[in-house]
Amino acid sequence: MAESYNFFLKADLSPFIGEWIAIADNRILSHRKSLKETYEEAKKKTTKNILLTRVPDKEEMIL
Amino acid sequence: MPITFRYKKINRPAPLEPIHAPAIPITLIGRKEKLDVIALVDSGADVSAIPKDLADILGVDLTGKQEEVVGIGGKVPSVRTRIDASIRNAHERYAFTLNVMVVLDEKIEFGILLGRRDFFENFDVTFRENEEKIILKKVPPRHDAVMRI
Repeated sequence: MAESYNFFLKADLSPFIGEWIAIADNRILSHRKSLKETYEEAKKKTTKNILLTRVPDKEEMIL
Repeated sequence: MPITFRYKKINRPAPLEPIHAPAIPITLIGRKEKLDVIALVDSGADVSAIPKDLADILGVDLTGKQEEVVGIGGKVPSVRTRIDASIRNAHERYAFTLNVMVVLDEKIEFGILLGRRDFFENFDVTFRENEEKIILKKVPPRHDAVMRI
């Protein structure tokens, strides 16, 4: 996870605002509005652990 | 020992200001999958929440009573459940159980939120806004905090 987290911190994620992204192998493997599609596509591209997150676009849902 | 994480800066198109998000890596462990995710630590949220898609991937028990939680978009149907989780850096690892609301309305778009109840009862959380850092220090959970949401 550490390698993917460091990538997350350094990467310019502005093109992916409002999308889920999957990170592994020091790159973004997939990005979609749908979490399930993001995850499934990434799983086809690597056997390593995938780091998933949604790039926030504005205020998230405050509960 | 406390664990320190840096805020994530996300640029947005002008004239919008960049987002400086207190986002931390966390591992969620379900019955089907164990996933590494980045979650937003939200001191404005009473409870932790995840979208249903994530609950489905993890294999989380969704048989609990359905209820409504209030978010920015109004009331949304949800189910409360428990997920094993861990947080770590190079030197420390803390395991705990997180009580979360699984938001069932799939039209509601949001990420993974760690709210005050449960998460903040497992950790002393310090936001250092000027340094753009968040510091977590594990504390024993309160006995009356379990499923108090």
